[in-house]
Amino acid sequence: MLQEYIITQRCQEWITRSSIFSYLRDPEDCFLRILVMNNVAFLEKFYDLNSNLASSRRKLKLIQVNHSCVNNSKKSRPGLNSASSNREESVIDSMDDRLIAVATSRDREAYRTLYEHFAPRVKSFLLGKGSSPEVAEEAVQEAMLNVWRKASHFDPSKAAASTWIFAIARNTRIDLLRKENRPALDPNDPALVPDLPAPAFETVSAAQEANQIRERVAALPAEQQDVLRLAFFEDLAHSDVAERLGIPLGTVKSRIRLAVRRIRNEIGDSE
Amino acid sequence: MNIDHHPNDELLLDYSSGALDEGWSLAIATHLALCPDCRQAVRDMEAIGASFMECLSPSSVSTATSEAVFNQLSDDAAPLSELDMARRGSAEAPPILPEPLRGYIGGDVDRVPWQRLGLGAFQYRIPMKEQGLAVRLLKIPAGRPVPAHSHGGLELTLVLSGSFSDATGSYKRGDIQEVDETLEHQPHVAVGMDCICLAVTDAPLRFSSFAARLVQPFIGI
Repeated sequence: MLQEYIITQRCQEWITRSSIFSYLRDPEDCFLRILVMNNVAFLEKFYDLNSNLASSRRKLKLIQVNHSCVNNSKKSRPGLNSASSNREESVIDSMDDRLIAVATSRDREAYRTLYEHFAPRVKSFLLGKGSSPEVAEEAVQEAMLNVWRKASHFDPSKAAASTWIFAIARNTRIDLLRKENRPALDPNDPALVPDLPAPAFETVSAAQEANQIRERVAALPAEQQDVLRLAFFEDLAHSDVAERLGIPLGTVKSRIRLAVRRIRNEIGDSE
Repeated sequence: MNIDHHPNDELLLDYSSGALDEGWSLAIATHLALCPDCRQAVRDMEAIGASFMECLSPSSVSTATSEAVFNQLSDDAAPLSELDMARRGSAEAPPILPEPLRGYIGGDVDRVPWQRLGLGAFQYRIPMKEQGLAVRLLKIPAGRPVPAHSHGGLELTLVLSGSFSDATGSYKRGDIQEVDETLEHQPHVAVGMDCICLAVTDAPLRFSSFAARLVQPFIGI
């Protein structure tokens, strides 16, 4: 079954840097997720490297490393404008790769690209939340340093780089500006109930999911987009969102629910 | 383990956007540790936030800030998550209190400095930096009813061990109950096992019984 999947050059380089081992999550039952293309010999080598792990009844899941290859192999997804989304995906995928390069080889060039793309957006996010320009600069500095420091926690099977960096920016802001702890779960906690195993060859990566989410947000009716945007960017309680938009609180809540459902329920439908 | 009662989308969205106060966030984050479905929901919501962030027009960042960042990049290897070691090291049963709650307590249930509430019940009030929310662990003995009460505001109750039920359903480990001022309920703890839960409220409870109201100021609920 695995012989059907082949590995690309790029994917190979990435894995041979043994970086992949930093993405081992629960060695008992959860595993690497690679989308493999173009090289059966490499796959065998990969199995050798992992023979100690493969020996018990552990499942091998494959990380999707080269998303452009995924696109080639996938059936066309309905509702996607392939020309524009491919261009966007390549930008986003390269951000994933760069974040991985920062994690695995402390790659400063890769980091610079991430910085140039994300730091100005993180600053806009903070300004939108009402930070003064001085405080926003301080928070950008701290958030972008956290991206460098915590890069090894990035898991491309769980989140796109932009999603991961958004979460870092959000948490940094809370730590720094509200002088409050941000209670966050610990993925290493032995009490954590692990994710259900994903299908062995999942065809939609976290980065692609992020793209689909972006498209669905853009396709929402304006009224639903507005409540989501206010909730994310103005730090407003739902009652304040209601006041701002001049609509009842119940309407705000139902729009949020509708918007979230519309975005989430459709995820996976196109598979 | 299937979880039947989840936080609603608005709470998860506020957690994802960072708008939720620390006490509520603690309950949500601890639920997330026990609920893969809600973890996925939060990841999706964070992706929504990221998509908004990507659409913002970029603000220029000062050269001083950028230089400060690049000067502080250290070549030290990014710390690997400790989980491999942590997981391998622990053959014993996983803790009852998941993170981040365990960190707030400084250990598992055996480390909770319980205060007696009377009638065999115990509580521990978890200190928070922010004022205004009461965040507490409760231990109610097996088979006992909690006096009927209503709420001045919102209450989130996350079950960590044992179970309780009331008119709205039955709640076990990982289930979260959201109750507002419209519900008066009398939770009843199932027999066989004490019920430990995390309860977050933004206003004092209102007990229906005169006797419970009399002792309320003394037991600090």
